[in-house]
Amino acid sequence: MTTGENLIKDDSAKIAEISKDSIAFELESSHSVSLGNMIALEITVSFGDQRHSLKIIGKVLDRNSPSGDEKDGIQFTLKLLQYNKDTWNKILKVFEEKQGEVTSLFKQIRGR
Amino acid sequence: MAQLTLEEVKAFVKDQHVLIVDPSNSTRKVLKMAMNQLGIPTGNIRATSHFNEAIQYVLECPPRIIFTEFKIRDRFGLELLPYLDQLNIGNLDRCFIVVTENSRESAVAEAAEEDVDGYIIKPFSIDGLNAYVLATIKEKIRPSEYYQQIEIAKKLIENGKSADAVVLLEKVAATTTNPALAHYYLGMAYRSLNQKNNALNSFRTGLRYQKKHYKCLIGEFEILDELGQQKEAFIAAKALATEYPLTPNRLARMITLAVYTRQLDDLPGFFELFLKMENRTDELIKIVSASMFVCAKHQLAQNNYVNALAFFKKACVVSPNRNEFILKGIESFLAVNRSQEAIELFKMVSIQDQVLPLWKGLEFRIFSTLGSSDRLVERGRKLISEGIDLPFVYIKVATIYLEQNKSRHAENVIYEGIKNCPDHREELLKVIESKPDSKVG
Repeated sequence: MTTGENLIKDDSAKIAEISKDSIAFELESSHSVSLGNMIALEITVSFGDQRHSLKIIGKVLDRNSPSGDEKDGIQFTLKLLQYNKDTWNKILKVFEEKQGEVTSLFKQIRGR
Repeated sequence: MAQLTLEEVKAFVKDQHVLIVDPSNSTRKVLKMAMNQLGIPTGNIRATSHFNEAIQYVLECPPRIIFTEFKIRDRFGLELLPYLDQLNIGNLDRCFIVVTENSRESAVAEAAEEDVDGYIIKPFSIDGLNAYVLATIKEKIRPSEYYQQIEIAKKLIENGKSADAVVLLEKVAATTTNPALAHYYLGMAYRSLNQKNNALNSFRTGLRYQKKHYKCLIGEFEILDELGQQKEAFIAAKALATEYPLTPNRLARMITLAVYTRQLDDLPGFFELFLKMENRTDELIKIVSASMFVCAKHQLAQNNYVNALAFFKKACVVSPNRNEFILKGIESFLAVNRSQEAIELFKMVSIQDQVLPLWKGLEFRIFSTLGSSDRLVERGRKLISEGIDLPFVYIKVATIYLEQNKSRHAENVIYEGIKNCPDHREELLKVIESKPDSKVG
């Protein structure tokens, strides 16, 4: 992830929500990221033998610490501005396929 | 079936509460937003990262929809279900959905076995989540006639009216082309009436309709186990394990059956399953470590020392009573004069524990099988001077002195041993009495 000229690697990042043009993720520290900042982000997603990496430039639309205390983590929502839409769609598809697999197994075991 | 109408959804959630239990701030926030989109006001949504607080909310204000992470610190979201049962909230009156980063099959199986309505993997989209929730609400609002009757039968069984449940389920089974689920509950009804053979027949009938019906496979396995048909139960369990992931309790039972029926070659495979499990219960840990110990002893009996050592190490690593297994393993190797393997196990003892009398004595025993006599005497005398009074140390040192024709030294050691270990007087005296020129004063 880069803000301005700074490259930040943060393995604590957890993606909370995704959509066609936005991503919400949580970090353990703020990395001086503010509302309105432009951020370059690199995401890698693996699932089975699929692996997709994508660089995104987005604008911080929302920045907050849901617990009220930034020490507990900060959530950022990025509006995706520059990114490869095909790769992003593939990434969204990976998450969908994973959910599909889990749902299928769940229903099979539940057996209703 | 027609689409759910907005009015139906609104009616389901009107004046109802939602509970969100998740350690992640982001997830709680996103789920709140999703529920707002379904028309549930923020004031009716409670969110917490603490399990105990979640229990409080459930009891104070029973929620209609619950979202929970699979694991919340050291508790499991599924543990909230009994609290809902306590409140007698019917399955059709609530939605319980696991929303989790845990996509392991064993976790999915655990959730699906319980009365959980959905399993959603993070990250999710709000639209995707709401579509899932709406599909779940639809099952509640418009359950099929078949499913409604199943729910009635389940309630009858829970309320001790299993005979009535049997009558109902036999009728219900005749109304559909795939009555596997009905036969499963018929089996459960018979089981609660202690008619185990009827129960077995019902589960097997269900499997004739649907060969891989999870609940019927479980039922068949469990009833065979209850009937004491351990070999058949194990075969049924293996069939289940080839199709579906195992829950911790089921894996524990399978391992126990494998040991009872001497299917020891299957145990390494079960160990691998154990390693992949998220939720390792205390019971499972105990059983896995014991099973590895059994494998070790079996390999030892067949003189496969490399394999025996590997299994002993696994037992030690898994068990919370690690030292107990290390001790047993070392004793087992010493009994067959395998000192090198005993040393390998000894290395697993922590540095802090190695200075304790028990382990110092054991180390001496190991080295007494391979050390030079002089070094052994030196070690032994050091232990004695440290106040570590172990009879076999005195015996070994005295024996070496006698071999070196140092009778006086041997006697001194033995008399010191008698002074410090009076309960072993007879045993100690035998060492010097056995030598023709030794004198007993």
